[in-house]
Amino acid sequence: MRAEWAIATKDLRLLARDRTGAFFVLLFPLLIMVFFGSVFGGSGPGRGAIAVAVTDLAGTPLARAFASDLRTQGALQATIADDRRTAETLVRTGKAVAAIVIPADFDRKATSLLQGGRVEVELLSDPARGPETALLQGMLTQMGFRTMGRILESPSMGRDMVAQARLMIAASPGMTQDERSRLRTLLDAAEDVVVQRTPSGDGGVVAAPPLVQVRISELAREANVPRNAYAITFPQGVAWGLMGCVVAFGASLAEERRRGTLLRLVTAPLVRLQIPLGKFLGCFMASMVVITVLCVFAMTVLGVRVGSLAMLMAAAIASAYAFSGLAVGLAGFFRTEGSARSAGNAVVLMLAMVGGGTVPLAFMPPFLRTASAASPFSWSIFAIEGAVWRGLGWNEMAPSLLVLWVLGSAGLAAGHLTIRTREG
Amino acid sequence: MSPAFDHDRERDASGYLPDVLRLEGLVKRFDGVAAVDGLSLRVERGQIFGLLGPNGAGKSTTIGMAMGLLRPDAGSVEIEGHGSPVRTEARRALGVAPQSEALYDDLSGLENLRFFARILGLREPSRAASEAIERVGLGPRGRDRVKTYSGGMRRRLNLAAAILHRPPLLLLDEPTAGVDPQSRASLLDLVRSLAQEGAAVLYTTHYMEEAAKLCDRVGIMDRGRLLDSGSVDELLQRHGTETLVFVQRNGHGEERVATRDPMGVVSQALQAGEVTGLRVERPDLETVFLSLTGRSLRD
Ligand SMILES: Nc1ncnc2c1ncn2[C@@H]1O[C@H](COP(=O)(O)OP(=O)(O)OP(=O)(O)O)[C@@H](O)[C@H]1O
Ligand SMILES: [Mg+2]
Repeated sequence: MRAEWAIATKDLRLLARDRTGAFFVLLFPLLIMVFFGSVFGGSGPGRGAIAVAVTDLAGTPLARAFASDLRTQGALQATIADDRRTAETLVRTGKAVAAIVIPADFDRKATSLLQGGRVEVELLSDPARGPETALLQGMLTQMGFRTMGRILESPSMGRDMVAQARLMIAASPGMTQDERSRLRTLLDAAEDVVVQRTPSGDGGVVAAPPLVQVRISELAREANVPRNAYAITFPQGVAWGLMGCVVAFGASLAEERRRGTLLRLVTAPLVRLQIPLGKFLGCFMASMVVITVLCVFAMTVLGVRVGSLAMLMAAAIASAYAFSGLAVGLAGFFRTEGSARSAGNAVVLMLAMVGGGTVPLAFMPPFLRTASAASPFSWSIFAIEGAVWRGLGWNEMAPSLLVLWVLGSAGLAAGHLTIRTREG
Repeated sequence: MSPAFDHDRERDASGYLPDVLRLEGLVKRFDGVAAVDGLSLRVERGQIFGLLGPNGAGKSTTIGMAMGLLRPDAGSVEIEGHGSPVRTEARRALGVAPQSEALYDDLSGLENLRFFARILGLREPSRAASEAIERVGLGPRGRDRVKTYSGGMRRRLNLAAAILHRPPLLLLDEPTAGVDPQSRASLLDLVRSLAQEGAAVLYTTHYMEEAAKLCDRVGIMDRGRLLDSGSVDELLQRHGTETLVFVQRNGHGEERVATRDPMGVVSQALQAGEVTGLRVERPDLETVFLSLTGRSLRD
């Protein structure tokens, strides 16, 4: 391990003395974190459809219609979840910004509209997605009016509603005879309208009080998770720092080849695996330094509160491991320093963009969100977010940690194999 | 880690000087063209073997195979007691100074050496580094970044990296290229003293004077083949057959006579009288090379 350690510390020293490298590894990610954090902090969500999970606990006609309204909304990308827990998981795991839960008594409450009935739809939201949650709330209220229109358009529902109102009028002891008869005349007229199904323009009912009331419940384990935009850009900053490390270390082997120093490594009494292992260790250490610096900065200067430090550590180690493997894989692959730097940059930049390094995953169109699964960035960002504000449990975190571990090991193995065949 | 070879112990046990490096029938082709074509040579302990040849002769390719960097297409490389340099243990016996310096510009001279000492597995890398840097006379500049070094200083550091672990076999590929005469003299002194301590040295150069002065044995190499090898005197005896005699007479230009009997030519000239100048030039490696290859080493 001493030779690997020597290679790693030598590479770290070289990186620290290379101004451009150090800039992309540390300063640039900091700028990204601060810059995008301040931008997202002020504005609403992006233009992409908002991913939501929809759970219909009622399954009755009005509820079903309401759910299908949600699905056909252009601004939403709805996934049907069979129960509340599934919906919650979708939100926790970042696959949906929020879950909309349609209560079991949706139809009953909706048709008692005239008696002051209100449907309470629950919006389980991701605490970090404040702007989108507000948008969703407005959308749900709006859609409540459509349900109201449906009630009035349906002869049987209208008749039921009028009949219920008649019963209530009859049962109200405090009413004068005069009031009763006047209300009955009104109900007769209403019944005529409803039964003859005069197509009612929505305009006629818009003035009514909203039928759907949205109750927002936040899905945080920790009640005090702040709605801090930096909590979103912090994992992004980390991803960019890791990318800087990947490019620096991905090119370092080609640089050793150009300088001729690789010859000294190859002719030294080392086992071949020690060279990629040394590079891997160096990149891992650089990555950990970057993550630590960004973490401390985010927590002290930007006020980001971390949900679970232990999980953050696990996410950081797994991410550093994955990206170091990627660096060694790239290092083995590229022959010249120029190609390593430019192609490495291109590959890493693409992975970063697809993986949510630039545009947050939640704002991405669906096909890109699917593609992002192929990028280590998305897994790393997800794991870090999971620790910082998603409030994930270890079991929800495990898959991404595992994926990161597999990616890192695959990169290391690929790097080792290519270096072994290249250097004879 | 202590040196992999203990010269004195080996000498006591066997009583004779075994070959430290043995190259047998080496062939290396690049795109079907042979850069080294059936080369065999041996270097003994304490011996400096000079591989002399023009650009492209195949010197570096030979060194590359000796250090295990290039895989020969045919033939074998044997390092005393360890076999092929493909084996990790055998590489412990190697000290290499590649033709293009292998150094980290952004590290200081000492940091470079300390790093190389670590990957060589030395137990006291700092001590080995400072000893080596003193030996090549770079002590006062040890803490400066290599990018501030002159060409000659880089060459010296490149050599220092080869001797960190006092290896029994040194492979030095043009260690003096582009070095001023003063630095060159001190580098040659250093190589000589390393050989006196028991190291076997394979040394490439295209400076004939250097090879003649430094090397115990010289191999003449051209187009991938070792045309002949031996001590300088042996080579001269075999191939430097004609001595040049330059005679200057009153009113005439200098007359140049190539002969196998320089004494005869000189006495003849003196008998003829009117001689104002007389110069005899011993044949040298240049003449040897000329006679072996039919062309000059210098072009
Ligand atoms: N990696 C390579 N790929 C292709 N050809 C090569 C390679 N290395 C060397 N050669 C060729 O092999 C021949 C011998 O090259 P080599 O470097 O061994 O010569 P040299 O004697 O060291 O010359 P110099 O004095 O210029 O250093 C040359 O013709 C060279 O072009
Ligand atoms: Mg050469």
